[in-house]
Amino acid sequence: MEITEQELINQAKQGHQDALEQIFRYHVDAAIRLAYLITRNWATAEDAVQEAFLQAFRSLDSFQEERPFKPWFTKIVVNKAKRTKDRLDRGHLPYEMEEPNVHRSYEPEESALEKEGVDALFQAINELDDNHRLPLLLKYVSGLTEAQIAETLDIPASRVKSRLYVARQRLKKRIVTSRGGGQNDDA
Amino acid sequence: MTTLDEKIEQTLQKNSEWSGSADALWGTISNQLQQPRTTKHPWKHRPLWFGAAAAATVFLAFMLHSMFTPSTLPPALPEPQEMARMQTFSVAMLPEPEVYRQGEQVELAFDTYLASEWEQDQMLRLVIWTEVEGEQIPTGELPIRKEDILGQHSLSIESPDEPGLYRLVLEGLFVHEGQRMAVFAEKTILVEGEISNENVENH
Repeated sequence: MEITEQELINQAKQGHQDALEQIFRYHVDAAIRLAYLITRNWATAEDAVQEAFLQAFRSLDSFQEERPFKPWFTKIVVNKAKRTKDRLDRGHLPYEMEEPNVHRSYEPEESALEKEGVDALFQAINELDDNHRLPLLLKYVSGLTEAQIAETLDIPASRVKSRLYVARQRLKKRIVTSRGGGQNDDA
Repeated sequence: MTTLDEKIEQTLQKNSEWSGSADALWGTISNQLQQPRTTKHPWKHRPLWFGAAAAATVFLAFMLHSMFTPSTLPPALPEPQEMARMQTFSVAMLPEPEVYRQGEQVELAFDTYLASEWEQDQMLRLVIWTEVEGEQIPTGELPIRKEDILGQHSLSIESPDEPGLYRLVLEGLFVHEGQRMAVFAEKTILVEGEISNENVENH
Protein backbone atom coordinates (compact mmCIF):
# COMPACT_ATOMS: atom_id res chain seq x y z
CA MET A 1 0.00 0.00 0.00
CA GLU A 2 1.37 3.39 -1.00
CA ILE A 3 2.02 5.77 1.84
CA THR A 4 0.74 9.32 1.45
CA GLU A 5 2.91 12.41 1.87
CA GLN A 6 0.86 13.35 4.92
CA GLU A 7 1.56 10.00 6.57
CA LEU A 8 5.22 10.27 5.68
CA ILE A 9 5.47 13.71 7.26
CA ASN A 10 3.68 12.46 10.35
CA GLN A 11 6.23 9.67 10.68
CA ALA A 12 9.08 12.12 10.07
CA LYS A 13 7.74 14.35 12.84
CA GLN A 14 8.00 11.37 15.15
CA GLY A 15 11.67 11.07 14.22
CA HIS A 16 11.53 8.13 11.78
CA GLN A 17 14.74 8.31 9.76
CA ASP A 18 13.27 6.22 6.93
CA ALA A 19 10.50 8.75 6.46
CA LEU A 20 12.96 11.64 6.43
CA GLU A 21 15.07 9.84 3.86
CA GLN A 22 12.07 9.15 1.65
CA ILE A 23 11.09 12.82 1.74
CA PHE A 24 14.68 13.75 0.92
CA ARG A 25 14.91 11.37 -2.03
CA TYR A 26 11.57 12.50 -3.41
CA HIS A 27 12.49 16.19 -3.41
CA VAL A 28 16.27 16.33 -3.80
CA ASP A 29 16.50 16.31 -7.58
CA ALA A 30 14.12 19.22 -8.18
CA ALA A 31 15.66 21.12 -5.27
CA ILE A 32 19.21 20.77 -6.60
CA ARG A 33 18.15 21.75 -10.11
CA LEU A 34 16.34 24.80 -8.80
CA ALA A 35 19.20 25.86 -6.52
CA TYR A 36 21.71 25.45 -9.35
CA LEU A 37 19.61 27.50 -11.76
CA ILE A 38 19.45 30.27 -9.14
CA THR A 39 23.11 30.19 -8.04
CA ARG A 40 24.71 28.88 -11.27
CA ASN A 41 27.25 27.03 -9.18
CA TRP A 42 26.95 23.35 -8.28
CA ALA A 43 28.87 23.44 -5.00
CA THR A 44 26.84 26.33 -3.63
CA ALA A 45 23.64 24.77 -4.92
CA GLU A 46 24.43 21.60 -2.95
CA ASP A 47 25.21 23.68 0.15
CA ALA A 48 21.96 25.60 -0.22
CA VAL A 49 19.93 22.40 -0.61
CA GLN A 50 21.67 20.77 2.34
CA GLU A 51 20.85 23.79 4.53
CA ALA A 52 17.29 23.81 3.21
CA PHE A 53 16.70 20.15 4.12
CA LEU A 54 18.22 20.67 7.56
CA GLN A 55 16.03 23.67 8.23
CA ALA A 56 12.91 21.98 6.87
CA PHE A 57 13.43 18.80 8.88
CA ARG A 58 14.21 20.75 12.04
CA SER A 59 11.09 22.90 11.56
CA LEU A 60 8.76 20.01 10.74
CA ASP A 61 6.92 20.47 14.05
CA SER A 62 5.67 23.85 12.88
CA PHE A 63 4.60 22.46 9.49
CA GLN A 64 0.91 21.67 9.10
CA GLU A 65 0.92 18.25 7.43
CA GLU A 66 -2.46 18.78 5.77
CA ARG A 67 -0.76 21.32 3.52
CA PRO A 68 1.44 20.23 0.61
CA PHE A 69 5.10 19.93 1.59
CA LYS A 70 6.59 20.93 -1.74
CA PRO A 71 5.69 24.68 -1.81
CA TRP A 72 6.78 25.08 1.81
CA PHE A 73 10.08 23.33 1.19
CA THR A 74 10.64 25.07 -2.14
CA LYS A 75 10.30 28.42 -0.42
CA ILE A 76 13.12 27.44 1.93
CA VAL A 77 15.28 26.29 -1.00
CA VAL A 78 14.67 29.55 -2.88
CA ASN A 79 15.57 31.62 0.19
CA LYS A 80 18.73 29.64 0.87
CA ALA A 81 19.82 29.75 -2.77
CA LYS A 82 19.07 33.47 -3.14
CA ARG A 83 20.91 34.27 0.07
CA THR A 84 23.96 32.29 -1.07
CA LYS A 85 23.86 33.93 -4.48
CA ASP A 86 23.63 37.40 -2.90
CA ARG A 87 26.69 36.62 -0.79
CA LEU A 88 28.50 35.42 -3.90
CA ASP A 89 27.49 38.48 -5.90
CA ARG A 90 28.79 40.73 -3.14
CA GLY A 91 32.10 38.90 -3.31
CA HIS A 92 31.95 37.51 0.22
CA LEU A 93 32.60 34.02 -1.08
CA PRO A 94 34.87 32.76 -3.83
CA TYR A 95 32.67 32.31 -6.82
CA GLU A 96 33.05 30.92 -10.26
CA MET A 97 30.12 30.80 -12.60
CA GLU A 98 29.90 27.26 -13.91
CA GLU A 99 28.60 25.95 -17.13
CA PRO A 100 25.87 23.34 -16.91
CA ASN A 101 27.13 19.76 -16.99
CA VAL A 102 28.45 19.18 -20.45
CA HIS A 103 27.47 15.52 -20.45
CA ARG A 104 23.90 16.43 -21.28
CA SER A 105 22.76 14.27 -24.10
CA TYR A 106 21.02 15.01 -27.33
CA GLU A 107 19.26 12.32 -29.28
CA PRO A 108 20.98 11.39 -32.55
CA GLU A 109 18.20 12.89 -34.59
CA GLU A 110 18.57 16.19 -32.81
CA SER A 111 20.47 18.45 -35.11
CA ALA A 112 23.07 21.08 -34.33
CA LEU A 113 20.30 23.58 -34.91
CA GLU A 114 18.23 21.94 -32.17
CA LYS A 115 21.15 22.16 -29.72
CA GLU A 116 21.70 25.75 -30.74
CA GLY A 117 18.03 26.45 -30.08
CA VAL A 118 18.20 24.92 -26.59
CA ASP A 119 21.30 26.97 -25.79
CA ALA A 120 19.76 30.17 -27.10
CA LEU A 121 16.60 29.60 -25.10
CA PHE A 122 18.61 28.84 -21.95
CA GLN A 123 20.61 32.02 -22.45
CA ALA A 124 17.38 33.96 -22.90
CA ILE A 125 15.99 32.48 -19.67
CA ASN A 126 19.16 33.49 -17.81
CA GLU A 127 18.88 37.01 -19.12
CA LEU A 128 15.43 37.45 -17.61
CA ASP A 129 15.42 39.47 -14.39
CA ASP A 130 14.76 37.56 -11.16
CA ASN A 131 11.16 38.78 -10.96
CA HIS A 132 10.39 36.96 -14.18
CA ARG A 133 12.94 34.13 -14.05
CA LEU A 134 12.05 32.79 -10.61
CA PRO A 135 8.35 32.15 -11.32
CA LEU A 136 9.44 30.46 -14.55
CA LEU A 137 11.86 28.15 -12.69
CA LEU A 138 9.25 27.33 -10.05
CA LYS A 139 6.73 26.42 -12.73
CA TYR A 140 8.94 24.41 -15.08
CA VAL A 141 11.57 22.96 -12.72
CA SER A 142 9.68 22.57 -9.44
CA GLY A 143 6.31 21.94 -11.08
CA LEU A 144 4.43 24.31 -8.78
CA THR A 145 1.02 25.73 -9.62
CA GLU A 146 0.55 29.48 -9.94
CA ALA A 147 -1.06 29.60 -6.48
CA GLN A 148 1.87 27.68 -5.01
CA ILE A 149 4.38 29.96 -6.76
CA ALA A 150 2.54 32.94 -5.27
CA GLU A 151 2.84 31.41 -1.82
CA THR A 152 6.50 30.54 -2.35
CA LEU A 153 7.46 34.01 -3.56
CA ASP A 154 5.01 35.72 -1.23
CA ILE A 155 3.31 37.72 -3.97
CA PRO A 156 -0.31 37.71 -5.17
CA ALA A 157 -1.27 34.95 -7.62
CA SER A 158 -2.32 37.58 -10.14
CA ARG A 159 1.21 38.93 -10.19
CA VAL A 160 2.62 35.44 -10.77
CA LYS A 161 0.30 35.05 -13.72
CA SER A 162 1.35 38.34 -15.26
CA ARG A 163 5.05 37.67 -14.67
CA LEU A 164 4.83 34.23 -16.27
CA TYR A 165 2.99 35.76 -19.20
CA VAL A 166 5.61 38.48 -19.67
CA ALA A 167 8.47 35.97 -19.31
CA ARG A 168 6.97 33.65 -21.92
CA GLN A 169 6.35 36.56 -24.29
CA ARG A 170 9.97 37.67 -23.97
CA LEU A 171 11.26 34.17 -24.61
CA LYS A 172 8.95 33.72 -27.56
CA LYS A 173 10.06 37.02 -29.05
CA ARG A 174 13.68 36.07 -28.49
CA ILE A 175 13.25 32.72 -30.25
CA VAL A 176 11.52 34.29 -33.21
CA THR A 177 14.20 37.00 -33.43
CA SER A 178 17.07 34.50 -33.24
CA ARG A 179 15.53 32.55 -36.11
CA GLY A 180 15.05 35.63 -38.17
CA GLY A 181 11.32 35.83 -37.41
CA GLY A 182 8.31 34.11 -38.81
CA GLN A 183 7.62 30.96 -36.83
CA ASN A 184 5.16 30.72 -34.02
CA ASP A 185 6.39 28.29 -31.34
CA ASP A 186 3.37 28.44 -29.16
CA ALA A 187 1.65 25.59 -30.95
CA MET B 1 5.34 20.37 -32.96
CA THR B 2 6.90 21.17 -29.59
CA THR B 3 5.15 23.91 -27.67
CA LEU B 4 6.96 26.76 -26.00
CA ASP B 5 6.10 25.26 -22.59
CA GLU B 6 7.71 21.97 -23.54
CA LYS B 7 10.77 23.73 -24.95
CA ILE B 8 11.27 25.73 -21.77
CA GLU B 9 10.89 22.63 -19.62
CA GLN B 10 13.29 20.57 -21.77
CA THR B 11 15.84 23.38 -21.88
CA LEU B 12 15.84 23.80 -18.13
CA GLN B 13 16.03 20.03 -17.57
CA LYS B 14 18.94 19.61 -19.98
CA ASN B 15 20.84 22.48 -18.41
CA SER B 16 20.48 21.41 -14.80
CA GLU B 17 21.50 17.77 -14.78
CA TRP B 18 23.14 17.05 -11.45
CA SER B 19 26.08 14.65 -11.44
CA GLY B 20 26.47 14.66 -7.65
CA SER B 21 25.52 11.89 -5.26
CA ALA B 22 22.20 11.92 -3.46
CA ASP B 23 23.54 9.20 -1.13
CA ALA B 24 26.47 11.36 -0.07
CA LEU B 25 24.25 14.39 0.45
CA TRP B 26 21.78 12.36 2.51
CA GLY B 27 24.70 11.01 4.57
CA THR B 28 25.79 14.54 5.45
CA ILE B 29 22.25 15.69 6.23
CA SER B 30 21.36 12.68 8.39
CA ASN B 31 24.61 13.05 10.33
CA GLN B 32 23.91 16.71 11.03
CA LEU B 33 20.34 15.93 12.04
CA GLN B 34 21.60 13.60 14.71
CA GLN B 35 23.88 16.24 16.20
CA PRO B 36 22.45 18.63 18.79
CA ARG B 37 21.59 22.07 17.48
CA THR B 38 23.66 25.04 18.53
CA THR B 39 21.94 27.89 16.68
CA LYS B 40 19.47 30.06 18.56
CA HIS B 41 16.64 32.31 17.47
CA PRO B 42 18.19 35.75 17.36
CA TRP B 43 15.22 37.67 18.78
CA LYS B 44 15.04 35.41 21.83
CA HIS B 45 18.61 36.12 22.80
CA ARG B 46 19.10 39.73 21.80
CA PRO B 47 17.65 42.68 23.63
CA LEU B 48 14.38 44.00 22.22
CA TRP B 49 15.93 47.24 21.06
CA PHE B 50 18.14 45.29 18.67
CA GLY B 51 15.37 44.76 16.10
CA ALA B 52 14.26 48.38 16.22
CA ALA B 53 17.84 49.62 15.90
CA ALA B 54 18.52 47.31 12.96
CA ALA B 55 15.31 48.41 11.22
CA ALA B 56 16.15 52.08 11.79
CA THR B 57 19.66 51.56 10.35
CA VAL B 58 18.29 49.86 7.25
CA PHE B 59 15.71 52.61 6.81
CA LEU B 60 18.35 55.33 7.18
CA ALA B 61 20.64 53.60 4.68
CA PHE B 62 17.76 53.30 2.25
CA MET B 63 16.86 56.99 2.63
CA LEU B 64 20.47 58.10 2.12
CA HIS B 65 20.82 55.84 -0.90
CA SER B 66 17.58 57.21 -2.37
CA MET B 67 18.68 60.82 -1.80
CA PHE B 68 22.14 60.49 -3.32
CA THR B 69 21.48 58.08 -6.16
CA PRO B 70 19.95 59.83 -9.20
CA SER B 71 17.38 57.72 -10.95
CA THR B 72 18.11 57.15 -14.64
CA LEU B 73 15.16 54.94 -15.31
CA PRO B 74 11.66 56.14 -16.16
CA PRO B 75 9.14 55.27 -13.46
CA ALA B 76 7.79 51.77 -14.03
CA LEU B 77 4.11 51.42 -14.65
CA PRO B 78 2.47 49.38 -11.89
CA GLU B 79 0.80 46.12 -12.76
CA PRO B 80 -2.99 46.37 -12.69
CA GLN B 81 -3.50 44.76 -9.28
CA GLU B 82 -0.77 46.81 -7.67
CA MET B 83 -2.54 50.11 -8.26
CA ALA B 84 -5.39 49.13 -5.98
CA ARG B 85 -2.99 47.90 -3.32
CA MET B 86 -0.66 50.87 -3.19
CA GLN B 87 -2.59 52.48 -0.39
CA THR B 88 -2.17 49.35 1.72
CA PHE B 89 1.54 49.09 0.89
CA SER B 90 2.13 52.68 1.94
CA VAL B 91 0.68 51.81 5.31
CA ALA B 92 2.32 48.39 5.54
CA MET B 93 5.89 49.42 4.69
CA LEU B 94 6.67 50.94 8.05
CA PRO B 95 10.36 51.22 8.93
CA GLU B 96 9.93 49.17 12.09
CA PRO B 97 7.38 46.70 13.42
CA GLU B 98 4.58 47.73 15.75
CA VAL B 99 5.05 46.42 19.27
CA TYR B 100 2.32 44.41 21.06
CA ARG B 101 2.01 42.41 24.26
CA GLN B 102 1.15 38.70 24.15
CA GLY B 103 -2.53 38.21 23.35
CA GLU B 104 -3.11 41.93 22.76
CA GLN B 105 -5.64 43.02 20.11
CA VAL B 106 -4.06 43.89 16.76
CA GLU B 107 -6.00 45.94 14.23
CA LEU B 108 -5.20 44.91 10.67
CA ALA B 109 -6.36 47.56 8.17
CA PHE B 110 -7.18 46.09 4.78
CA ASP B 111 -8.14 47.12 1.26
CA THR B 112 -11.08 45.55 -0.55
CA TYR B 113 -11.23 45.93 -4.32
CA LEU B 114 -12.69 44.31 -7.41
CA ALA B 115 -10.59 41.31 -8.42
CA SER B 116 -9.36 41.24 -11.99
CA GLU B 117 -10.63 38.48 -14.26
CA TRP B 118 -7.29 36.63 -14.16
CA GLU B 119 -6.81 36.74 -10.41
CA GLN B 120 -7.29 33.18 -9.20
CA ASP B 121 -9.82 32.19 -6.58
CA GLN B 122 -8.18 31.98 -3.19
CA MET B 123 -9.78 31.29 0.17
CA LEU B 124 -9.95 34.25 2.57
CA ARG B 125 -7.30 33.64 5.17
CA LEU B 126 -4.90 35.18 7.61
CA VAL B 127 -1.38 33.76 7.39
CA ILE B 128 1.03 34.30 10.27
CA TRP B 129 4.70 34.21 9.30
CA THR B 130 7.62 34.10 11.67
CA GLU B 131 11.35 33.89 11.34
CA VAL B 132 13.38 30.76 12.02
CA GLU B 133 17.13 31.07 11.54
CA GLY B 134 16.64 34.14 9.41
CA GLU B 135 14.06 32.53 7.14
CA GLN B 136 10.39 33.36 7.10
CA ILE B 137 8.11 30.37 7.48
CA PRO B 138 4.32 30.25 7.91
CA THR B 139 3.37 29.18 11.44
CA GLY B 140 -0.35 29.58 11.37
CA GLU B 141 -3.26 30.04 9.04
CA LEU B 142 -6.77 31.11 9.99
CA PRO B 143 -9.69 30.93 7.58
CA ILE B 144 -11.61 34.23 7.52
CA ARG B 145 -15.33 34.51 6.78
CA LYS B 146 -16.46 37.13 4.32
CA GLU B 147 -18.91 38.34 6.97
CA ASP B 148 -15.87 39.45 8.97
CA ILE B 149 -14.69 41.54 6.04
CA LEU B 150 -17.87 43.01 4.56
CA GLY B 151 -18.46 46.63 5.47
CA GLN B 152 -15.26 46.73 7.53
CA HIS B 153 -11.91 48.40 6.98
CA SER B 154 -9.96 46.49 9.57
CA LEU B 155 -9.82 43.07 11.19
CA SER B 156 -9.22 42.66 14.89
CA ILE B 157 -7.08 39.69 15.94
CA GLU B 158 -5.12 38.59 18.99
CA SER B 159 -1.34 38.77 18.86
CA PRO B 160 0.51 35.41 19.19
CA ASP B 161 1.25 34.04 22.66
CA GLU B 162 4.96 33.58 22.02
CA PRO B 163 7.18 36.67 21.92
CA GLY B 164 8.86 37.29 18.58
CA LEU B 165 8.70 39.00 15.25
CA TYR B 166 5.66 38.14 13.13
CA ARG B 167 4.25 39.17 9.79
CA LEU B 168 0.49 39.01 9.41
CA VAL B 169 -0.91 38.68 5.88
CA LEU B 170 -4.62 38.84 5.14
CA GLU B 171 -5.51 37.83 1.60
CA GLY B 172 -8.07 36.08 -0.55
CA LEU B 173 -11.07 36.48 -2.77
CA PHE B 174 -14.80 36.31 -2.10
CA VAL B 175 -17.99 36.88 -4.07
CA HIS B 176 -20.35 39.64 -2.99
CA GLU B 177 -23.51 40.51 -4.92
CA GLY B 178 -22.19 38.65 -7.95
CA GLN B 179 -18.85 40.44 -7.97
CA ARG B 180 -15.46 38.90 -7.19
CA MET B 181 -13.77 40.97 -4.51
CA ALA B 182 -10.17 40.72 -3.33
CA VAL B 183 -8.77 41.59 0.08
CA PHE B 184 -5.19 42.32 1.01
CA ALA B 185 -3.39 43.55 4.11
CA GLU B 186 0.01 43.07 5.65
CA LYS B 187 1.52 44.08 8.98
CA THR B 188 4.73 43.28 10.82
CA ILE B 189 4.51 43.13 14.60
CA LEU B 190 6.91 42.50 17.44
CA VAL B 191 5.32 40.62 20.33
CA GLU B 192 6.96 41.47 23.63
CA GLY B 193 6.67 39.44 26.77
CA GLU B 194 8.17 36.72 28.84
CA ILE B 195 9.52 33.75 26.95
CA SER B 196 7.66 30.73 28.19
CA ASN B 197 8.82 27.50 29.84
CA GLU B 198 12.44 26.96 30.71
CA ASN B 199 13.60 30.43 29.67
CA VAL B 200 11.59 32.03 32.48
CA GLU B 201 13.98 30.59 35.00
CA ASN B 202 16.80 32.66 33.56
CA HIS B 203 15.10 35.99 34.35
